[in-house]
Amino acid sequence: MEAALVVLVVAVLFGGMVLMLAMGYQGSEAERSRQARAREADAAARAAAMVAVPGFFARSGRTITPSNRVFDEVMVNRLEHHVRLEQAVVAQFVHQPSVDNLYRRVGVPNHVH
Amino acid sequence: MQDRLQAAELFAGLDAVRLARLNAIARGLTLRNGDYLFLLGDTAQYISVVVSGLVDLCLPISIDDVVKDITVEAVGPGKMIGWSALVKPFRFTLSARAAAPTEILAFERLALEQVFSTDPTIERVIRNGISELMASRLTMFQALWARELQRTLSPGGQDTQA
Repeated sequence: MEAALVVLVVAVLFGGMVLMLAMGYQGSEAERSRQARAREADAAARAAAMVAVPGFFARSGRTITPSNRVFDEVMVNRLEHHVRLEQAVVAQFVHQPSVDNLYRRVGVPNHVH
Repeated sequence: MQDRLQAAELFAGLDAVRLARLNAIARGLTLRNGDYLFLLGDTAQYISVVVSGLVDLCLPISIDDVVKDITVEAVGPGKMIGWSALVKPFRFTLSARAAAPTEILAFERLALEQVFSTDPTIERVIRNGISELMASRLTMFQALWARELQRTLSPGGQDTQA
């Protein structure tokens, strides 16, 4: 009878220990999984922030999609035309720096501002 | 050839004796339409003066792995190109391509430095000219960049242009 009681107590203690170990493992796995999700979310947020930083020739809302974009002579001419117009505007700024001359619109005479 | 030197902005203010010294180290080159004088990244050993014709200064633009030169400035007779030859790290920062049959006079850095060592006035005039050109170019690109940035940051990517 006493031997059976001892076996029962040992079994209960052993079972309790195994249960505690299993619960501890589950808890640490859940924590690891939560940290991994947090890291992924953080990386995605940082990537989005990097994309949001403007580039030199970034033109939000007016970007041509890669599927219909062909870098041909027509596009080269358009780019060079754009550069010429812009240079004509900033030439005034080079000789006479001012905010008005810097942000003057193409084709708008200086005296309008 | 000395008359051609007199017409160059870079040498403005130099007397005939000093122009003759520069003339002695000048090397004439003829470019056909489309010929490159130098490429971005090349070691810069010569500054050049355009005597006749037209030279486009180009910046390579890459879209979808296709690289093409976009002209950012056209340089005509009397103007100087290749200031990088006298400023470290002596590498060209743009490419230069003839936009028409063009004649230029080229001055090698080492030969120029020898002239500088014996005639500080020539050095002062040329380095002043280079400083002015660099300041002008810097201001121009600063303004172009600021306008692009302003357009990028405007609500809905509004263009500064009309």
